[in-house]
Amino acid sequence: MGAKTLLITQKKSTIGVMSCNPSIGGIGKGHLVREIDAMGGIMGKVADQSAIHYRVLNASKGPAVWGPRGQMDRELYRNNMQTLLDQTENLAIKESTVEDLKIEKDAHGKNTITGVITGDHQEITTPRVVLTTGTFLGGVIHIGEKSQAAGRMGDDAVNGLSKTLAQFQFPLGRLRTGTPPRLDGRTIDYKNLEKQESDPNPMHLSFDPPSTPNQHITCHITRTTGESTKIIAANQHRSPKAIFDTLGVPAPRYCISLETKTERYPERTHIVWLEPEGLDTDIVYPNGLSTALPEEVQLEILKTIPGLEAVTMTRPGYSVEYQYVDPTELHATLETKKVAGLYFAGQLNGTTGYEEAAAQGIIAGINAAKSLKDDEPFVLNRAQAFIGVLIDDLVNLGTKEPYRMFTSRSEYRISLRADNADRRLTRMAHEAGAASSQLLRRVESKEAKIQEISEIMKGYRHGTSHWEKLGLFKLSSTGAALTAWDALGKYPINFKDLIPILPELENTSPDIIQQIEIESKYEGYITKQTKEIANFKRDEEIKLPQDIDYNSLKFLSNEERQKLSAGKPSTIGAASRISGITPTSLLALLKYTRGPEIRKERMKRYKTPEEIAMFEASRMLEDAMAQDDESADFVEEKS
Amino acid sequence: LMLRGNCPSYRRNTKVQHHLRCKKSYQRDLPRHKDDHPIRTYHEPLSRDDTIFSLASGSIAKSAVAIIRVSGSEAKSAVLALTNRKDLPQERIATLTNLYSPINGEKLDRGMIIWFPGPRSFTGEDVVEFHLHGGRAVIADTLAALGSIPGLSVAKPGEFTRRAFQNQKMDLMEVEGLSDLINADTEAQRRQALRQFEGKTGEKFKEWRKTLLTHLAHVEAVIDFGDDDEIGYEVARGVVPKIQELQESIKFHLEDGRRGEKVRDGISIGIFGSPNVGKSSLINELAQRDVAIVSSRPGTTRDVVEVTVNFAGFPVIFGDTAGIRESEDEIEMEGISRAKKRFFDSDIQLCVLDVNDTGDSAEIYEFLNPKVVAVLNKIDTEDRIKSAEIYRKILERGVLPEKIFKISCKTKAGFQEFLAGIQDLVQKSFETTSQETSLITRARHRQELTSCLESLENFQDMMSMDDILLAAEELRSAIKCLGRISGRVDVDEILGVIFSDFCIGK
Repeated sequence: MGAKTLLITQKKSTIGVMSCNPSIGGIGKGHLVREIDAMGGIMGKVADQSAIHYRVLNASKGPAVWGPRGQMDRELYRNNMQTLLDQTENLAIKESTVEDLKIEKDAHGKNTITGVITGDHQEITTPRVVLTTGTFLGGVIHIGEKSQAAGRMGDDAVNGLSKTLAQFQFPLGRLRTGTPPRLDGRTIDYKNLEKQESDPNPMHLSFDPPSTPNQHITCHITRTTGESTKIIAANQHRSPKAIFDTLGVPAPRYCISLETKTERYPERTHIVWLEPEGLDTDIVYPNGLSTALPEEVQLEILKTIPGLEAVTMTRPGYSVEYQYVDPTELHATLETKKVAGLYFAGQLNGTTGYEEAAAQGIIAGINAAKSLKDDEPFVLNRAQAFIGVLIDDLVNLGTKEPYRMFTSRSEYRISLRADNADRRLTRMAHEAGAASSQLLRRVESKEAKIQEISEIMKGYRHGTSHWEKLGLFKLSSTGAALTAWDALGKYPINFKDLIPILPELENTSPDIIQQIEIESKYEGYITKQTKEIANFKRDEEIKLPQDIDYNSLKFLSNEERQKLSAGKPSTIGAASRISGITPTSLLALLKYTRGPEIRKERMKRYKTPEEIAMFEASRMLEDAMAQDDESADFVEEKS
Repeated sequence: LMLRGNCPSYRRNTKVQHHLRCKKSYQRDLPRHKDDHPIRTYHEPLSRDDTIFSLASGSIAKSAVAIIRVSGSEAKSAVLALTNRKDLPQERIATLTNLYSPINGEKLDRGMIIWFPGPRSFTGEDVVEFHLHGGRAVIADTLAALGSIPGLSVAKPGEFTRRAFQNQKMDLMEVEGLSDLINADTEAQRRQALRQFEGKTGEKFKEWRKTLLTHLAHVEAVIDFGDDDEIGYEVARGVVPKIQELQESIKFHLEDGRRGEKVRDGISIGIFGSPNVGKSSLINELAQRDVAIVSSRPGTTRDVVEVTVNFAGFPVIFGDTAGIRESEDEIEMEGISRAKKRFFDSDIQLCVLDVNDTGDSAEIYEFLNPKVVAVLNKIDTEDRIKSAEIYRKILERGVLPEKIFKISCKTKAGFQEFLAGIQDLVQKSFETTSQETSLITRARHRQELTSCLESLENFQDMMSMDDILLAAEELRSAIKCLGRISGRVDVDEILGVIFSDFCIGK
């Protein structure tokens, strides 16, 4: 985007170090990576260069919720990332820590960033700062009864910035997360363990994967045992979890520690994936064993797990707590409301996961660069991308626990898929200056090809007797004529089955075939969602002035006044997603902010049943998520 | 002051105990209730500082007591200005006080005031009620006095309720219930409306919605946590029988013979027959009043004439139709075709025959079937032989003997048995199931519930094909449908229509 950028980090050598699981993607997260890739981000590209195992999660559950996931060679990922950064134009890297921010009042009395002050007391002047503190801000790691200030095992925490943020009244909270011990693979007995091979035809994380993939490794699956449970239960009091629970430091509800698993489901055993961390290392990541029990207890537990009877630990698991800022302090551009020119991204905003962090990073970066040129903000909405859902949730609803992406958070899951991220976003990102012309050309030629193929298929229209003669499938009803497109969508056949009758379809590339197969199958649902999206977009286009004095609006309830004043939503759509704001108030708000003519026009368009239904959608999902406590039921049912 | 004239529901409100609602039949071609019709009403935005006031006790005619209600942040000033007090009276307690005009200081009345500080009030805002003597001048002068206070303005129809809704004092179903309660003419309507207003009817929908949300959470869990946390398809399949149960329950409520809508809108009894058999005389008897023009000239009634009657506590709409016969007259033909259409739309069909006429009535026999009530009129001039022949013909068409009545509109002979018989049929038609009252009181509820059921059926199909993703999509749609019933969504479309149904002061 042409902006001169300085990356300040403690150690250049730790750029691209994966603090936790050496894997990228997964359910919901795979969507994010693909969206980042579609916009010109590098995460997917580096991931594909470094992957040594691929698996699509939810492969049996329909393409819209496929979660492409790749396991990384930790070293390759780090090296590839650093190499790519070195080659990046306009990017300089400085080894240091940022201890303080320089903030001054602008002409209108608004706090504005003017630079940063580093640990070595150097002042660096800059009009824009993107803060990505990860787990380092006020970070403390815990193993059993021991704890120490650190952002990650072996790396120092950052404390000076907390003071600055507090000084500018950013509401800070604490969150925690954990990581499992690491194992020496040479001491694992794989003999009796179930194997998990890499997918033979992997779904990549990038739309343009490298032509020569790495060698693929095999993972193994084992389980904890009743013995493991006993040891964990006997040592619960020695886990920092007890203290966290008392202090109310929330952990992710989703990626739960062994201690929590045992507490909630004492009668169950738990699956453990043994994932090698690289091609040239013996270190194995035991996915599913996140724990912060004392080191000796961890080892004791490991020895009760089949295959790990004689294992040696190269490093114990631990828990890390860190500071985050209430993300409702942010605009949808991720610029802070309190300080102009200051952007936050990643765990600092209460999220968990590499992918969630990267998704925010690219948005904050694009906006920081665009705002320098006084360009329009670059905001993705809920109908455009999972990234839009993520940021919209954060800045409007905030989060009380580490926020992770799920497909169920999206109202438009059928349309916002991992496989079509490029078709959704590349053009937009190109206009914003983020995606290269090369990316744009790629997606344009893809679109053209999809268009061409689908026209051929829709042009092949024949009566049922014709299709019966072909004998490709058993017709469910006689009557209306059927196109090749309909046939592919409605009947259990593949694209390839149509080639004998439509030879023009021969030589279609796999990614085009995928799009055709998915879109023909979901056609009805996509059409319905497209309509809903059109309505939703209209809401999103209705901007709310940032200077509304909500407290003066008598048509709002007290609760609404408070929530709107605090949230300062940027659009009607965003306001609608704040819990407790009634549709009626939204409409009144809408009328209040609009001139009479536009107002009338808008009101007319608000009248059909499906329309305001969209207000409901996100709230419904929230409710569903709030029911998550009942998840205890279904897991128990299973056991 | 915009009282009666501007109030769209005035006509319904002032409908005295019996009757009367005469409409041209073209209106009947519209949905039965105007709420059921997507009339687009756009409300002006609520102004920012408005405190509203209006006469709440409905009629501007003389009455013993009249109540004027004020709601909004300036309600306080209204109390102080009219009472000349320095302090507000004790909250929620009736206080006897003199009222003065702030315009000229003149005493207006001696009455009671009740002060309801928000949020514990009808609208959720500060509310004050003035209980006055119900003379026209007292009311007019007090309203004028209130109008002189800065920040106060006259309430628009339904505005008090609209604010109550906005402040989440009521949900949409409760608002509808209140509207129905105010408009209730019969005992059954009152009972049903009260139940809905108190939120009892809506509870069921909310309960269903909550149940579905729980089930959705199970299905979503399989999608989002299935692979990582070993939540298998069986967890999603576990909700299949539970949703099946819910489907049965919804179906059961949908198959209530439209009882709730009938209670609210009235049960429709159509009167059919050849020309000049006495259909109009019959409706006049039923309505106790001349609504239809009666003459001995065949073909007098060319349109559908309606009359609403409180019939044994139930609202019944009798509809008199044009006599069915071959005709060349264009207008009469149109009347006949409307009559035929009405025949199929009626809940109960009364076929009137001339007890002595064996010839001309031929076409009407085509309409006779076991569900129809046959009324043999003019028994004061009965010819035994002819009537026996007609009786036989009627039985041949399958009409049940207990549904055949012989009457005379002229002498009232047989009328008592006839009325008892009809009353019985009306009552039966409200007793299609054993539930106390129906859940569904509006076509809007029925539509949403029907689409909800459709989505649940699709859900089952998708589950049987193991397409858990599309199953979840269907469940999401079903939940949206239920949410819309209690007004969690797209409220405003219906709101405008509903609120305009209220008279000032509510």
